[in-house]
Amino acid sequence: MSKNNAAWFATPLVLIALIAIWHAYVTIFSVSPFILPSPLAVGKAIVKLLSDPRTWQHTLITLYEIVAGFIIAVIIGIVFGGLLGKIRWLEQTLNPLIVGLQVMPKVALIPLFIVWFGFGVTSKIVLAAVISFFPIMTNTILGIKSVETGHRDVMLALNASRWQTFRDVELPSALPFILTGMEVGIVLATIGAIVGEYLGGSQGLGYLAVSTLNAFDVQSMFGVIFILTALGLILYFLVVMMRRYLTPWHAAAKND
Amino acid sequence: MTVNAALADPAPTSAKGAGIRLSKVEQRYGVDKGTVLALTGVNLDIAKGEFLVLLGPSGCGKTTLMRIIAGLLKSTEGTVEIDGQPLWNGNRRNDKVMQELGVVFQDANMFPWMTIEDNIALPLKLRGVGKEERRRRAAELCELVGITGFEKRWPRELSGGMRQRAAIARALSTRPQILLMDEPFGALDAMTREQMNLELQRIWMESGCTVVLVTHSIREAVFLADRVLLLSPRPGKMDTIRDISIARPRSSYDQSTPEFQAHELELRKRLDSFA
Repeated sequence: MSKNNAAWFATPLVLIALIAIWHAYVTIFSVSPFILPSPLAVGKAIVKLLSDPRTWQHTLITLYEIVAGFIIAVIIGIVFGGLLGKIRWLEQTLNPLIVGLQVMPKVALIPLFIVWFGFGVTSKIVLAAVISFFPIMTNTILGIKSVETGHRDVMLALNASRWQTFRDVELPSALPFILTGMEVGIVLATIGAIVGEYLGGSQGLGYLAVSTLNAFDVQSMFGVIFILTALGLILYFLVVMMRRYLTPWHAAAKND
Repeated sequence: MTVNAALADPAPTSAKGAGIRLSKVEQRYGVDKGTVLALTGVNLDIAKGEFLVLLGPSGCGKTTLMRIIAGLLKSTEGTVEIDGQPLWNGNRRNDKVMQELGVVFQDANMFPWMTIEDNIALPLKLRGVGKEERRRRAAELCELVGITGFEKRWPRELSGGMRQRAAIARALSTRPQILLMDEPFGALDAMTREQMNLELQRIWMESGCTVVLVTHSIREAVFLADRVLLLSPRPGKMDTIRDISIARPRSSYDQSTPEFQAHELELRKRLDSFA
């Protein structure tokens, strides 16, 4: 309980303090609003943005790209992670390739994705999926490999088939790991969709951020960034909350 | 008492459990830098319905032997037969024979994501038994092992002793003819352990199955066994077989009788001679 109290009281206080420092800095040093607008100007810009239906359209498009990319990443990540975690020679064969792909800056592929999938939402969905797929897959592999020996012995003694062992033991064992991968993945999917919008296209919050900056409407750009942050936070907490429903038996599910 | 004399005359019993026959069982470990002989020369008949205890110091191969009987490990030499049927056909385990076995490990190995009821009924689920029937059987087993009321709990909500009771219930769910137990109470405190021994004796007498139990407690061995097989270490070998003919059901007080203590003393002397 005391931890929760800290979160409810201390966090807003820190937030207010930061905004106050921001305000003081802008006022005392009379910073140009093109460099850093005051918190008040940004607040006004957010209100203006939220009352504009076009902002909501952009938000919906970005949300769609993130969620679609993320769901694809979750499905492919679990399937590939499951296969690689179970089939040793396959993992050993593909491991160098996987590490290489993981290290490669996926953002550098955006121009290529735009050539392949066009300026529309598809290229952003692909980027969001590609960028968030890896943590989900690697965590699935890790999860399936960390099944307790004792649990394996039980299934062996029960003469369980490979599929039964996967369904009743390996998958539930791996679930806390998969959820951790998904928590990282949803953040990366958000980044992927937005960076995709920054670099090409004419819709979404990422595009809106770039176009407001190009119009020297810096406070609106900050406003867009706040909306993006709120969107990212909501998505992240939705994934975190899944833990409670999917792994009620797990210790980590209680402490969130 | 020598091994050969005991082998010629396995304990006569008439319950429903299946008999186990081990012939020339030998286990080697390791492939690189030569192999280590863990267990050798095991020839043993375990009668139907018998309670056999494998006793020995660490490194005597008693757990290895239990894993071989459980089909968790294929011995490098020799054969295992359950009720006249070989446990292994080449490198494949005999599914029919495996169905006759129930195994309890030192850790309860409850699956934390299943309720106690689902854990206990898992072997039935794997055999395609319907949900209603599984629930009914789980309730019945909870009663048998004394954890009624905990069916819907998560394993982490139970004490170690109760989890181990659940593990016994799980092993019994398919009505196996043979119950194999690898130091099942080793992780429990002394008082719980003594109580579990009494409960196990009752469960065994009610179910009539054959039990092979591994332990390093001499007292537990004498208390539970029809016969104690003492194994000597490096390499694991059969050393002594001792018949324990104290009347059943045995109570905790029987442990103070001269007969009980004589068995205990003899086994302890023999164990000490290995050091």
